[in-house]
Amino acid sequence: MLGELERDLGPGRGLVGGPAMSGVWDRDTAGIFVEELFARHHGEIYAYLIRMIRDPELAADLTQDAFIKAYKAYDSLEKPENARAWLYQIAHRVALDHIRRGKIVRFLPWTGESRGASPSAEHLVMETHLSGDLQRALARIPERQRAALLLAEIHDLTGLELAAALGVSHVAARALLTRARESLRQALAAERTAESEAEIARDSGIGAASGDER
Amino acid sequence: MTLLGGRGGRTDDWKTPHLRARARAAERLEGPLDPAEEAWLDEHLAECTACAATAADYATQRLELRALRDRQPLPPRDLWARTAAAIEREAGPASRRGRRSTQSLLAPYALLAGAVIVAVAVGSLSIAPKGPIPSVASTASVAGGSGQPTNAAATPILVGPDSVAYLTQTYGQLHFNHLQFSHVCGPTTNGCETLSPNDTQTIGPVASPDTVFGAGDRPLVVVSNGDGSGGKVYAIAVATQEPAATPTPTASSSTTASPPPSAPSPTPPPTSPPATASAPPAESISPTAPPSEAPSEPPSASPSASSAVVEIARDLKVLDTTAAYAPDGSAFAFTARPDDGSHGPDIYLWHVGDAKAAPITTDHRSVFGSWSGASIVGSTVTAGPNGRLERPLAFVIGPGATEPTLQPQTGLAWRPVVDPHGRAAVYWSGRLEPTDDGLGWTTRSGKLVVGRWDDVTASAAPAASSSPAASSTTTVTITNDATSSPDESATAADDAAQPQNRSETTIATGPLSDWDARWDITGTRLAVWIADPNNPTVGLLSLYVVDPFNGKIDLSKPPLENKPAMAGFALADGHLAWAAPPKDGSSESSVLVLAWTGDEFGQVESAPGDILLVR
Repeated sequence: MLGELERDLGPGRGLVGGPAMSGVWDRDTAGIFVEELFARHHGEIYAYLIRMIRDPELAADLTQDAFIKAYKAYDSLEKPENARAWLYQIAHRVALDHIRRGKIVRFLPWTGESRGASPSAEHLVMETHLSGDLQRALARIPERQRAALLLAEIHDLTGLELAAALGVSHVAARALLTRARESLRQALAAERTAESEAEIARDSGIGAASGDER
Repeated sequence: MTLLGGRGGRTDDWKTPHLRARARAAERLEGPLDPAEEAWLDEHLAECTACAATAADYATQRLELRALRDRQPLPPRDLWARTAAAIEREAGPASRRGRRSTQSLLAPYALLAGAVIVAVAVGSLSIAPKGPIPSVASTASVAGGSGQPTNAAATPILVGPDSVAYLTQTYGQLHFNHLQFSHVCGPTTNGCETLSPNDTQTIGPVASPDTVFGAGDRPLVVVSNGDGSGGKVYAIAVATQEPAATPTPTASSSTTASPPPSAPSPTPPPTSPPATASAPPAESISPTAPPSEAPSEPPSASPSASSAVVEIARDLKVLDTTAAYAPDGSAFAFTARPDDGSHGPDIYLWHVGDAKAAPITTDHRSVFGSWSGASIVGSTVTAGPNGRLERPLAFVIGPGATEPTLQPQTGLAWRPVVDPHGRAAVYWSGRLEPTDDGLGWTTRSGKLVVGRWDDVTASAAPAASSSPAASSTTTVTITNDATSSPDESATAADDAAQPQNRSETTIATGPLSDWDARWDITGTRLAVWIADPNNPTVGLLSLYVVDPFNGKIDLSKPPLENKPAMAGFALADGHLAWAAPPKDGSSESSVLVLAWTGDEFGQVESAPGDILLVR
């Protein structure tokens, strides 16, 4: 099937045998479809989710959830070439659902310390490849803005793919991205100011000014 | 990633030039700005070190994020095994017999670990430039004089510069107003300052306007069903540019309504006498005639120097609330019947630049539904097994077609309003019955639904860029016979109202006296207004969100649900506007706007007045 894919669409262009063909949900077809989808996109979906929620285990669980949803809803994808954006939309909704239900990460300023089962700072930095201050700054901004930045800048979604993934018009997606840049700039500035203040405090021996007290 | 740069908004949209510069600097990362804005930004950044630092920060953080593109976190090794097992559980035992094992599913994954992902390139939309933007509320300021964001007392939602147009009438004079906004309050307008129009132009006297339709810079189409003197339809070219050296077109010098000078019509001006030259001469109103009495004009009213009012149809009664400009703005379609009641309704078409609108159907029972690209979608009435005319049947009139293509596969579909992608439509699914005057049809039993739209002509239809249907206004012959259904199979299975495989979502059950449904240009928002059975000038308006991939509509949590609204609303990419019914003891209504960005919705309201919203 992958050979057919490359022949029909060129390398990496999308999925063949996608749901638009029949319009009828079929277990076997759905299984093969999601298998291909997973092979092509699971890495980036996992990367997106871990950067959104900052918890590797949870990101893995949510990645799994996203592909199960894709499996169940594969017949709703009309155009195979939209599969990637469609999958991001599912992943985005999965992430937001969990955030809104309060089941996962609370995007509070991150202390840099491990709390119980939460990942350590070092571990998370290694996992996400985001620097500590960028990680914390992203955590400070609203989740939809964070999603827009991650999808546009790291995951390289086009304008309409971004709009589709976020479930908004492309004009709204652009406005969201503009706001996100300013939010991130301010959050980064705040993080770096707090960081340097904490460093000064440590150097001068004034208390144990950990990030917990910010 | 590529997005169109240079959003709308004039130089005076911003509270400070610093805010403007920061927004533009962020937007420039997505693509080039307008040259003038680009030049302004460069000049500002050269002088303002704080803004230049901000722009540099944007660029730096972008580089920092983009550097991560090739540094992807590694998922757990067993992720596929877990996922495949979960899918197996979801699928249940029936599928296991026919499916490969988890182990076999893993093989292609391993082979594809290094597959290259290529994003799909797609087009994008543009935003029309907008005028000066007032803030919604004095407490809703988002920036101080330093350009630094400040905490606001209210929580405004930034929705981007946007505007709504409406007509008001004072002392017999019609005024064209623009209400512009960049922030809204959410979720209600409580505590928000009401807005006044940013600019108002006096058009002139037009008797008893009932409905007005617009499309960007196209002439306004004003319907006046009259007070017994015969209904008329006017085209009003409202120039938004300053009167310049170019001679202003006037209705008295030509029977052709000219579009504003800044917006040449895509259709060439008629070079030969119009087909309807024998029609009564157009009633013209000198656009330069001063208002006879207008002592309390809105303060910002500008002269009507560039407005031309041309009658494009007379002695007609325009029916239903459904009428619309073609997506490219080159033609306007509506449903009407003769005022004298000599026969039932037909679809009329007016090409911008033509002297008169003309009927394009002749069966006298056809009604307009919507445009679908360059095609007109309508419906007619056919006979049921009992011989009564009660079965609706949809059809499509393609560009240049002389015969409609019937759409029996849609089943019973009355007034279908097709989404911009041509895959779903809102329509009445059920039976019809004659109106009391016997000159039209109204709903009898059935429901208003969203259903799949399978245009049988779509595969053979010309490209969307083609000229709209009936580019030279030709008459289309509806060939179905009044005593027999054109769809024999459907007739045979008559009381099974719809084909078994129809996928329909019910919006409202009938009968309904009237309704209006519109999709936004993205196809992701659907607004539906349903008339009050006792007073069809008012009704309830709802806004639904449509899944961009599968077209499914979430009816459970609409952003706007059953809001009282006058007939007629405007739906655009980013906002829905309607006129609220007058409150008790008042004859004035106000314009309410629900605007959104992403999942955030907020409202803003105009000052009250005698308002006729431009749809």
